[in-house]
Amino acid sequence: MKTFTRMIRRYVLATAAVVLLVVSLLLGLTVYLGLHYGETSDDRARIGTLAEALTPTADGLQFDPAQTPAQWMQGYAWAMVLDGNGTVIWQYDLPKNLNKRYTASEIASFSRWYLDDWPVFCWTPDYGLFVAAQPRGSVWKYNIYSSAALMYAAAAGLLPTLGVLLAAVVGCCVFFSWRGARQLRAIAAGLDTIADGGTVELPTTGYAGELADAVNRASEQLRRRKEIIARRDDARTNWIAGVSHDVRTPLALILGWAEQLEQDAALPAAVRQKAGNIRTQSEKLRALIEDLNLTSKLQYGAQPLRRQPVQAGPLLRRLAAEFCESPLAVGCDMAVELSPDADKAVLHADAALLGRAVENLLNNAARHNAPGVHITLAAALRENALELTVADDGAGYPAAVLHALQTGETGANTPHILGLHVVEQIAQAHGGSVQFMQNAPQGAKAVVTLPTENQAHR
Amino acid sequence: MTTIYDADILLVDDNPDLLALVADNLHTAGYKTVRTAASCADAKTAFARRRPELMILDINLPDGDGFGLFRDLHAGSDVPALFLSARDADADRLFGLGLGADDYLTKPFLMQELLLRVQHILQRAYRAELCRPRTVALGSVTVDLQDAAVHRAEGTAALTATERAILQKLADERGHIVTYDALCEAVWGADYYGYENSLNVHIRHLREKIEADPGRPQWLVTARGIGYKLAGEM
Repeated sequence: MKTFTRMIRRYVLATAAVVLLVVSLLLGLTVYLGLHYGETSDDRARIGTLAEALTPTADGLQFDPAQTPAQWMQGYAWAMVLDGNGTVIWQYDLPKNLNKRYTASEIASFSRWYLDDWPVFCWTPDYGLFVAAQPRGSVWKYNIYSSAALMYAAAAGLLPTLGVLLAAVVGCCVFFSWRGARQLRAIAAGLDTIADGGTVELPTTGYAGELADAVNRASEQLRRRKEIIARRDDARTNWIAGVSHDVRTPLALILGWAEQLEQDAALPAAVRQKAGNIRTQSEKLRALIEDLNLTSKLQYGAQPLRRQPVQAGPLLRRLAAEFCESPLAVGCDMAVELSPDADKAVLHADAALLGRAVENLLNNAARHNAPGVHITLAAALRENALELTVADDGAGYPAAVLHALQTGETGANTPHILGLHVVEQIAQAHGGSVQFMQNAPQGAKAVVTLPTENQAHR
Repeated sequence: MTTIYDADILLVDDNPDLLALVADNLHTAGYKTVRTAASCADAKTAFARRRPELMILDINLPDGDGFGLFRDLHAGSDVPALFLSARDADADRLFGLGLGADDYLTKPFLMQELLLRVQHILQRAYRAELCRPRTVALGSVTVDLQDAAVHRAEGTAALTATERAILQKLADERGHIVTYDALCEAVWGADYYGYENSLNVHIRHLREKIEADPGRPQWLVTARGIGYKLAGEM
């Protein structure tokens, strides 16, 4: 929208500039011509001045002695003064054929036109009629008449007419630029739609038809590509879901039987130990399947978040209690440390997913460390964000794992960190983040930052 | 039904191995009556013969799905149910719980977890009928919850109403951690905030009455930052 306002404004301004340029050029030209051709006549005295310079003296009419008569007459061919009867009473360089008595009709004629082709100018001082002629062919003389009413009307209408003309020019500019912009606006709207992920089908008529056609083709291209990607993502997610589904029942049996054997008091301890190992490995496999499923769903946006207001304290205590009850936690020392404001903090979160993230972090701490490890689940509130820390005093992250977690680099030798990757994805899905680091003086530490309710709603 | 172990449990799954495994484990855990069915039709017959106290249902069945079965069976009764499924699709989980199922567990699962959930569902659903533990044996000390009395070798002490409520909740879940939240809610109701300090005081008094050495509790143990646990009989 702004683009078009800007466009129309530019168009109008450009037109105004063109008009201004033409007008100033015309003015400049006029001034130049006036200066150039008017210059020669400038040192010539005006007819009135010349007439006033002539004064009656005892010796008849005399030019003001400030200048010589030749100087006064500079630019004029000749001059004469007629009395009331048309008789020449004074003259300067008057051609012989013109030295005569003039009738009233002759005077009336030359006062308007020429006298024997001489362009003459008249002035009526007290002493008679002063007539001066400029050289033949040097002046173009014409008389203009007009009705007074017309002249008054023209004078009065000058400003309004100028105003109307200006308005017409501006109006035309705005109209034509708006018409031009309208077509482009449809194309811009189409581009906006494409940018927002939609598809468009613009009419390809009008002067911008080619452009519209190109936009249509780009839109179609993107749509097709998106469809292919969506189909591939769907296939991948479905494949993972399908495989994990088929694996689930056999694994449930393996897990169940192993558990049973492990608890069978009739079996030798060594056998029960092995059954325990089968159980542990099956559990790992189970976690892997769940993470694999979740990660593919989160990655392709197939996992809808069911966010609800959740109070942090009770949720974290429940998760910690569940972890403590699980076989993995045997031998671990677990502590929960919540600051009072973090305890009461309300998250806008999918409690099941968040639980999964915390579970993964706690399980990780228990699984990769020897019994006796101290695990701390802590939470503190920092500027509308809940900082959730899971730390232990065990072996810490192996260097390769930490590198992969911190840089996000993947490659052939990337360690398997699916469980922690899921934690990262869950945090991100909630608008948060996670940082993995070594704990001081030893052990691993993960800090999950989640926006609290107020911030999440903003 | 005086204890949860008297409950009649109907187990429906199309996999005979899994059916046997779960039934076996439920028996081992002490449940006296476990009936199994491998299809919707079998389940309906078993249900008609006698109404179970709990249903454990698979979702993929040869002649229908567990959701439909649950709807049919649940319609005329209020039998609690737990879905056990290889489908973990979230929609399924929600759908199952939306129908009114009490819980949903995805395969593979730990037997311990299944047993725990079964125990919870039964305790919750039949709270009124079940005889809650009336006496709690803590080594040489015996607590009579009904009379709110602690019997020790050196004499008898009385429990306050709050102490009795706390101990009752812990005894209900004996062997498991009870979070502060669950404990406070059981004693003071849903709006329990601000009672945590009060809870600590009551626990201290309770320990003075039931523990041999209240400074180093043997029965009423603290899960740091989480809650408390009444240790199982040794």
